[in-house]
Amino acid sequence: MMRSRYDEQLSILNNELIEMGAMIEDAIGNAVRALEERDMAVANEVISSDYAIDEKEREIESLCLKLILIEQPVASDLRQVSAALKMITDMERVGDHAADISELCVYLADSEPITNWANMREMADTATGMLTGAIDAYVKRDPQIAQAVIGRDDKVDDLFDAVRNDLIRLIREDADNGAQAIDLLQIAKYLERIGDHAVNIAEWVIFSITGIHKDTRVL
Amino acid sequence: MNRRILTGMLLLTVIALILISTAVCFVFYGSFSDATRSELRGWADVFRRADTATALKEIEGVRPEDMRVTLVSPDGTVKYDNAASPGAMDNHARREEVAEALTTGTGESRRLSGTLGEETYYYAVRLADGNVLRAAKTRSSVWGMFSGSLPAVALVILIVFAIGYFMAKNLTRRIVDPINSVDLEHGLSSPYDEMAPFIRTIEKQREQIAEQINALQRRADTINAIMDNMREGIIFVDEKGVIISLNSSAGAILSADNPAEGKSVLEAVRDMDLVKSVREALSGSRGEIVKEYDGRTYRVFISPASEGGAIILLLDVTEKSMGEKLRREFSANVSHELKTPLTSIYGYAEMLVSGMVAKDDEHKLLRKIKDEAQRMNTLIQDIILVSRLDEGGGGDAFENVDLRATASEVIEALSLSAADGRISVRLAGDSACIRADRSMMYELFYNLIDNAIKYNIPNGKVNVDICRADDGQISVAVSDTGIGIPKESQARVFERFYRVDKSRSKKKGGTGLGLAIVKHIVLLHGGQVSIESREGEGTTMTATFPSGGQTLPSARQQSEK
Repeated sequence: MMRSRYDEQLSILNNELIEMGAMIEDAIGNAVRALEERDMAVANEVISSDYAIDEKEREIESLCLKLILIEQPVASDLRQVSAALKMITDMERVGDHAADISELCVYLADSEPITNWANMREMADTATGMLTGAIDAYVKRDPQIAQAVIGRDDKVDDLFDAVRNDLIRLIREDADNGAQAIDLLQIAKYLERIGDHAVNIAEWVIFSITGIHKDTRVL
Repeated sequence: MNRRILTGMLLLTVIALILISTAVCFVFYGSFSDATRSELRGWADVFRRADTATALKEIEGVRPEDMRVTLVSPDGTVKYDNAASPGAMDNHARREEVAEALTTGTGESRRLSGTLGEETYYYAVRLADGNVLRAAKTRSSVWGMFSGSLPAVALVILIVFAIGYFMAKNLTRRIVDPINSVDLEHGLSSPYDEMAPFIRTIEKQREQIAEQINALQRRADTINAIMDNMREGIIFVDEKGVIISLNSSAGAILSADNPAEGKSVLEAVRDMDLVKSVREALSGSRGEIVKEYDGRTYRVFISPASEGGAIILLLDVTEKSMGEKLRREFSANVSHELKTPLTSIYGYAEMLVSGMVAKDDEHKLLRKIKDEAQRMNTLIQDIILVSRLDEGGGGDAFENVDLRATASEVIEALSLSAADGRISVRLAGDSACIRADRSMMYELFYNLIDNAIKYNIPNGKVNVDICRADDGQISVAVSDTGIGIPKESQARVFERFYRVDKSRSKKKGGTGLGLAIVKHIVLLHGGQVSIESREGEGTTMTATFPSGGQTLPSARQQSEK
């Protein structure tokens, strides 16, 4: 009787984690859309939805702690619970960055765009793709997908450098571009950070499946 | 079965044993008592003529275990007894056998003794001197014999039980084994004649079951075939939001995991809008959302199922929503296009009414009003034509149309405007007939040649080529030496109200509908239209009509109705 309740709670944890993943995927997807289409309604929606993501993090956190305290999980169950605890921290940061990007969108709304979007767009696509990959890896319990996510991090870093060089050139051409360039640089940095968080999540997914974190056996 | 056979066997055995032992007891008892009586009689009858003294001498040797002997005087007092002292014994004159002997000479009786299961036989004779000699012998009674035999009977029952147990088991097996080994799947044969009706019933039931299973299977197959062949996606979820079943379209649309059955919607699809609607449906309210998956638009209906759970239906509405978008744009454009000349007309008219215009300018304004009205008229005609073509109508009057004759008719009509731009128009090719709507073909050539003249350079050329290919296809090519169409616009020139260069088109009196009309007309006649253009060098528009063209368009027309 107790055990079946325990199994049920583990499956609730699983579902909640997927749901939080879907929430941050939506948030970052909408933030990028708001950026591209200069759609303030979408940007504001992302900013207000960050609250729900924080709430979800606290909910999962307390569920994990309760599980550890009452059920004292072992082996793969313990890995799942502890990985969940670590993953939600990264997920919550992604949610924050999505809100940050949306806030910058609101600032940018009034000015004419100065840059072509090619690099920024690719960066946004890569970062969101990595995030989706990390959550897919969790849902499908597939370490290979997670490994692929980790491999794509270099691409985001390279793209960040490319965007940075674009912006430096723009400032050099016309100093009036400076204000917007700084905002855009911040957005690029947030996207780069989202890529890093996706890598962290992917690493914890690998841990929850294999017990190995960053090539070291932890449990 | 085993127990029943055993019980039956035991019951039968016990009853038989009891009956047999009872019968045996009675038979033996009868012969025993006869033997005892004749023994007593034979012994005592010897003394009938003897006197007491000889008798006494004779009987003193008799042991009490063999026979009890008593000598009674005629008054009943006991004179001698070999088992007890005579003094202690009461008067025997009233004893049945003694009394009988005293009167008739001999007497006989049988009495149950005090102890159960024994009885005593008495025989008395009157001696010569009047005394009575009585001999008695005790034997076990019929009950005594019976109860004596009980242990033996019990033992036999026990043995029968033991043997019966194994026999019953064996028997049961021998009866049941053939029944168990009956092959129920094919070719039923009855192991016992007695079971034939039973086997027939089973056979019948088996056929019924097979039929029902087949029917169910067919139904399941039908449902699966329907589900897998429908373009719409359909998903069933249980009351916990776990997918019970989904068809292949749904899997493809949502790019869900395979197999998605047994997973929650969240896990399989990870789409919060859908998950939220499913949750609402599970709590009993219908939902409808519009979602884009893979660049196509889907209308998603989520309804609660009556047995708990929910049904998700995905309809591809991409074409419909595109069509709606096009129609919305078209009406917006139409209003805009109609408003522009009307505003000019209104403005000029107002100026004329107010009398603010100098006398010599009046004519100029009136001409402008006329031009704008003319433009509106053309536009409205084009719009009406496009709307008619949109509804797939307009091709009622198909007849044999000579394309060359129509083309030259159009060139004749446009000769004035061609002369204006000093443009030479040349018509080449043989006469070629197709089944077509004459006025539409006129419209087609008019628009193509008009465009070729309008967007040409001064002293430019327009070539109209009509040729019949070897496979019977008829192609109409209108080429000019004009300004050409930029590459990125080439795909869009057939859209309604699309203009490569807005200001130029307006100046030339274009409505933005010409090529849209051309495309519609060609499609209506089963043909294709293509464009080839280089900026600054010229444009060639080619319309190709299907082979022969004599009967095909009309046949197509009929099949469309």
